[in-house]
Amino acid sequence: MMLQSAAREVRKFLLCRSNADKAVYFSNILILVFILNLLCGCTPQRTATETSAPGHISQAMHNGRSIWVSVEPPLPEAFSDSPGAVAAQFSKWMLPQAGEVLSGSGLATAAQSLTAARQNGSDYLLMITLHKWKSPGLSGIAHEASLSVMVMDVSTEQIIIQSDLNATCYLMAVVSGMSTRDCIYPEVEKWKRYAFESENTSIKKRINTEGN
Amino acid sequence: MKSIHWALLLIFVVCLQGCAVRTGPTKVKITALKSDAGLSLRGKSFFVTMPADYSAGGSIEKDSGLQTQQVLQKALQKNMVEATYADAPRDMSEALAQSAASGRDYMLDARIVEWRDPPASFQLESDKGEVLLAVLDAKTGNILEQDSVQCTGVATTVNFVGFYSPKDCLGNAFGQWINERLK
Repeated sequence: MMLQSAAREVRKFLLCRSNADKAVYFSNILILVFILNLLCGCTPQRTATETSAPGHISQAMHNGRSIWVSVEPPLPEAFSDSPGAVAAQFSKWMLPQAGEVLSGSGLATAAQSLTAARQNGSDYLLMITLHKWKSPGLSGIAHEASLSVMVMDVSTEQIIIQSDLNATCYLMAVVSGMSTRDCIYPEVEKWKRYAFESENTSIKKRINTEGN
Repeated sequence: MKSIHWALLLIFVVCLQGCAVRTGPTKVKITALKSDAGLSLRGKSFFVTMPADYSAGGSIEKDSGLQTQQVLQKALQKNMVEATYADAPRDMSEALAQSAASGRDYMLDARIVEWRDPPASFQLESDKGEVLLAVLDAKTGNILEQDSVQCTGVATTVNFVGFYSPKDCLGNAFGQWINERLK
């Protein structure tokens, strides 16, 4: 309906003769664009997303335990976020299932992260490898995030979870406060349902079978 | 003529209010990521790091690190917390060495997680700041406490067009964190 109205205004603008009329119709179009932008800003900003399978989960993480979160090198091309900030953001997302979450301030190899996790008494080590982390710009119009999550039991050094998370979010509004982190967040929430222990173990079993 | 006087007076009052109350409604949220009930930080002194400038989406928020440290410094001084401040952002091992050399009890590490400073927009989006504060043992490098300190704020009428940044709401957030953790 809004688009029809906009098209009508454009047609009137093209047909009208005097400059004064043109000015009036031009201002009407501007108002319509303004209203459209407002409406778009109110609509959900994730219009297209891609969800990956939870991957291989051999053992879910126990609730209430301590997790060390780190970002592993290499960083993807055109990565403009900070690895420490991404790790900190993931730390927060692990709550409330995790009892406590700590994160490294920069990039760390698996060996460095394992040492830090041990030193700080963490039960699990959650390592993130970023494959794609793009904001809209000249190269694209969407937020794109693609990453691997690996969880290791610190005491046994066994990898218990290996998953890939992907998300693509197209922006509806010209002015938007969405970030690439906001784009991947719902996928992390979905992943958490399988990664942490819960009463619904049957779902996990099914997912494990699919993952294998 | 009289109505013009009233209108001018009204504009003056609005301007005055905008200048006096730079910060509009502010929300603060503190999330404990690790807390140690047995650890008392009351009366302790700190070596405070300077966070690196926040970068995201291809742009760097210039001086956001320095501004964050300055706001934290103001909040600590207001609450009579003794501290030494780093003069530049350093990596963790360098910061720990500096902290140990400073002779302070603990290192207070600040890391900017989010710094949203949007221009005045049609959607009236709030400014948002989030800083991860960690208390570390400088000798071992172990993290003793870690909290996410987050704030959102909007400008007042006069400061509506851009004279507002996340640092304006982080002051309240740091004040609350100090009250909860260091007192």
